[in-house]
Amino acid sequence: MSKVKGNRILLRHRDIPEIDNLDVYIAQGGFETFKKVVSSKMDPAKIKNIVHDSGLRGRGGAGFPTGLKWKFVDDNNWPHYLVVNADESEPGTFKDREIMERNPFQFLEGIMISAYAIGANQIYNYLRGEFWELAAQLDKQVVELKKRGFLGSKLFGTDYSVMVYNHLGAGAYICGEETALLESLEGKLGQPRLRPPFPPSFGLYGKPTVVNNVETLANVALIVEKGANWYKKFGTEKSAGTKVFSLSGRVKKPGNYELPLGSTFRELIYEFGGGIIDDVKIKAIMPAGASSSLIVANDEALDTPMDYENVPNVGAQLGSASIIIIDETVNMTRLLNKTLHFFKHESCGKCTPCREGTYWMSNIIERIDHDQGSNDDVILLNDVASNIKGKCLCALGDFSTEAVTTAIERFPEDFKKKVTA
Amino acid sequence: IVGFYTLYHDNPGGKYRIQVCNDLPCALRGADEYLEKLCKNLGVAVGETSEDGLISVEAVMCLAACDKAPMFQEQSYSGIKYHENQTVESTLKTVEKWRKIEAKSQ
Repeated sequence: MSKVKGNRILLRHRDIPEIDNLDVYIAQGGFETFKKVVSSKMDPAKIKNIVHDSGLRGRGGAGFPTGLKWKFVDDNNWPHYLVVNADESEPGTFKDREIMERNPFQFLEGIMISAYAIGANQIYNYLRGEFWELAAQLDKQVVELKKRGFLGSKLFGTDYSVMVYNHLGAGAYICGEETALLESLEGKLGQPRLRPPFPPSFGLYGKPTVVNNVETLANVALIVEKGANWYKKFGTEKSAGTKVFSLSGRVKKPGNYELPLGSTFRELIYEFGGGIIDDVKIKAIMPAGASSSLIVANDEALDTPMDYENVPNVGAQLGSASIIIIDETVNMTRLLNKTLHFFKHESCGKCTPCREGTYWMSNIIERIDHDQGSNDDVILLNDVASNIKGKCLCALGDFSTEAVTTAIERFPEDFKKKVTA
Repeated sequence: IVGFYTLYHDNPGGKYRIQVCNDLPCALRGADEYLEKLCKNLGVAVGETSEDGLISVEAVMCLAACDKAPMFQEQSYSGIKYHENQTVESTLKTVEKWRKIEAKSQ
C-alpha cells in the first residue's frame, strides 16, 4: 500500500476528507493555479507546452498525447470549444463517475485551465443520461463557482470569460465516440462523422474543438501547478503519470485503484483486488472493458506492466484500463454472448459491416452458447468478425470483434466443449 | 431519435422502471440470477409491466457501476436514481416503499 499512499493525483478524495466541499478544496490550494493563469494573462502556448512535456496521454482509451491534440487546434478559426467526454459507457469502466462525484472541484479546475489553454470560452460537459444525479450535483457546483467569481465573464478583472454547461445524453454507448458525441450535442442522432477533418479543425458547430476524457482533464490543474517534471516522476518513460484502474469481474475487492502506469496485473489483482473469488484459478484478463482482446492469464501476462507499451506484448491494448477478470468457472462462449449482445444493441447502424455483423455474430454465439452450434459455426463466427475489422467509420465495429477472434484463437477448448462436430 | 436513445421510450411502461444491468461485469457478479429471481418475485417477465401499472422490469446495458453489482437504475417521473449492491430482498423492500407512496397519493 505504501507505494500508493500520498501518490494519488486523481482520487485525492480518499486522502483528503470533504474535498468535494469548495472551502476545503480552496484551503488545499485549489483554484490558485486557475487564478494565477488567468490574472497573470499567461501565454496559452506555455500551458500547452507544460501539458505536452508532462507526457500526459488521453485516458479515454486511445492514449493520444493530450498536449499534441491541443496544439492541433486551428488558431485561424474562432470560436473554440472544449468538450468533456463524460459519456463513460464501456462495460467495466466506472472511474470518471467517481472522480466527478467525489473530487469535483479538481475536475472543474482542470477543465477551466484547459479551456484557457485552447482559447475556449465555453465548456460543454457531455455526461451520459444515466448520470442524472451527478449532473444535478455538478450544476450546483458550477453555480457555486460563479458566485465566487471563478466562472463567468471578465474574470479577475481581465477580459477572459469562461462558463461550464453540463449536458445530459440519453443512453447511447456510441456517443462516447468523439464525433458522435458532437453530433448528439448538436441535437442530432449520435452517429460518428467521417474523419478527417478531425475535431481540432472541424468540431462542434463546425468550429475547432478539443474533446478530452474526464480523467485526462482532472490531471491538468496539478500538472500546471507542479510542472511537467513532477508528473513524469510517476509511471514509466513513455507512459507518464498515474492511472485509475477500474477493476471488476471475479475478484474479491472490485473498485477503482489509482496506481502509477507500469504497475503489473499481478499487483492490481492480488495485492489490491484481494485475489479471485473462492480462490479459484484466474483464466483471462480483459484490460480494456468489453472492447478488449482476451489475454491468457499466465505468469508472463500477470507480470506484465500495465502501460501503453507493454500490454500489446501480450496481445491486447491498455485502452481505458477497465480490467475485467475472468476465472476458470466462466466459459468464453458465455462471455462472448454477453459482449456481442451489448455491441449488437449499441451499434448505431450507420455502417453496414458493423450493423449487420454484430447482429449475425450475436445470433451465432447465442446458438453456440446454448449447445446448438457446430464446428462450422465457430469458423463462420471468426469469418464474420474478420470481415468487420477496419471497414467502419468508427472503432465500435472493430471493438466488437476483439474478444471474438482472440477467444477463438486463445481458448479453443471452450468452443470444443460447446459444439458438435 | 426516440428509438436510438435508450432513455426515451415509445411505450408508457410502469410508473417506476427497474432497469437492471446484466452486462458482462455485472453478470460475473450474479446479475443474471438476481434479475431472474426478482422477476419471479414480482410476477413479471423482463420487459413487462406489472398488472397495476406500477413497475416495469428491464434489462439494460452497462451503467458504470460494475464494482457494485448487482445493481439497478430507477427511472420514474422524478428522474433517475442508482440503487447499488442489491439483493432480491433489498429491491423488494424498495418496491414496497414505492407501493406505499403511491397508495398515499391516491
